[in-house]
Amino acid sequence: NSFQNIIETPYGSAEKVAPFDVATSYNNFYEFGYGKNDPKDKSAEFKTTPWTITVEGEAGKTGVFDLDDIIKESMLEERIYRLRCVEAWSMVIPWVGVSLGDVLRRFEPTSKAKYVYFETLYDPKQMPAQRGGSFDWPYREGLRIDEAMNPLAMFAVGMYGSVLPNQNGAPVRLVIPWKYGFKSIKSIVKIRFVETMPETTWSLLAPSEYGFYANVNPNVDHPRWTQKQERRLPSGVLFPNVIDTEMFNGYSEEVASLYAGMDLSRFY
Amino acid sequence: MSVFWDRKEKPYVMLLFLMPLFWMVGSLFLGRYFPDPGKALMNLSGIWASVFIIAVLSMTPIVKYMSLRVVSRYRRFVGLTAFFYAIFHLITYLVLFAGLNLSWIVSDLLDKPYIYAGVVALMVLSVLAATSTKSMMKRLGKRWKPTHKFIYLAVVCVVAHLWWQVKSDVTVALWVSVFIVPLLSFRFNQIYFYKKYFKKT
Repeated sequence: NSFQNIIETPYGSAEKVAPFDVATSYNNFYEFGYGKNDPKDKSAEFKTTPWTITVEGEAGKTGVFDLDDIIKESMLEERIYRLRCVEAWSMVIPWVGVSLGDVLRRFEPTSKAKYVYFETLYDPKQMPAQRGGSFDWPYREGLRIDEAMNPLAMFAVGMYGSVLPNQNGAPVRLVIPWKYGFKSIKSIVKIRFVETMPETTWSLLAPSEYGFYANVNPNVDHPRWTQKQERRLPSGVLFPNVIDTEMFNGYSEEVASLYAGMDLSRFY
Repeated sequence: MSVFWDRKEKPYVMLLFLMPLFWMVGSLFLGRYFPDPGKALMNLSGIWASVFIIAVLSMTPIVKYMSLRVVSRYRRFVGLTAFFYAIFHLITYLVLFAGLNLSWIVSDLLDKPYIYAGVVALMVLSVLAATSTKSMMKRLGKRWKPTHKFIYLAVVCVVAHLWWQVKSDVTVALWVSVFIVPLLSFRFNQIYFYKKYFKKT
């Protein structure tokens, strides 16, 4: 399952990567259950091949595409990114994938494509938690087109040098390192280019707590807990590793210009 | 001490009540809460504090309807255990969850409503624990009973504390409410009927 000839990149080379077992057993993937271990425990039978993605909307090339045709193994790079969850914990993960923009451009989005919308698989037979609960499945996410085209945004098919484990969003997911983790949608089956801001799962569920942008921002607290610090996992036995949260999760240099002039406490 | 150990089964009851603590601490050092023990232990200790609060609230109806007098002898003991687990919950939050990071704790304390609710509940429990001794009962006299009625305020705060912090999983908040709401309505009913039928005659 490991990839050959992954292109090395300088991203995050100074970071201390989370152990593989931690990154694959402490997950929020509510389709498989609310507990942090549920995704690992309940996703073993999840079928990820063959996998197709439906591309719709304001683009020149739409239709149903096989994942293998969208991403070739020779294009894959490794990038080590900090992942900051909205729940105030974080991990450093070595992802394998390509720039999201490179993938999207091949569908030739038109000038009307102001946003891009993503959808997770809806399959209650395979994803037990989709059979009930307060979520309006399928899970939905979206980005402004310039955010999606930013070189940091990643279309990931692997981590730790191998294909994505099911619990981490196999076979393909987004990794948007300057935004809270819930923006990095997993197990993507649909991409739609749209003109107006799409509805997204968490902002539908609790609009006062989760916005469309969801940029990591220590100056804007979640209504019920602080975002000024985070626990960098794994924690020690008695003491967590609490560190200050950085603006845009430390990626200001690459992405701050996207939000020039915007009131980020209003567009949270 | 001699007053406290008035009954010979008491050490065993205490051991029983401390089992959840031993289990949690053991699991912690065995790495069962890895990689985020602060979060896991904070949730678990809060659950056990709630369990003992439910237990102490259930004692009056149990004594009343089942004539289990032995239960009423342990009311203070169960109440103190609830207080003990509430303190343990506070410690897990301060140390294991927030890493004694002052900025984290202060910003939680300043503007997070569910933290207020927890703090109020804990303050009430502290007062009740401090006034639970025989000598305090004597000193407070008639005021002792009204003081200890504040347990209802603590209980309401606990329920608010649980619902307010739900992100998506309501299981714990729901289970605690399932027990506490009937117990509270039982008490209020009792007061209501008492006033209606007995007081005038």
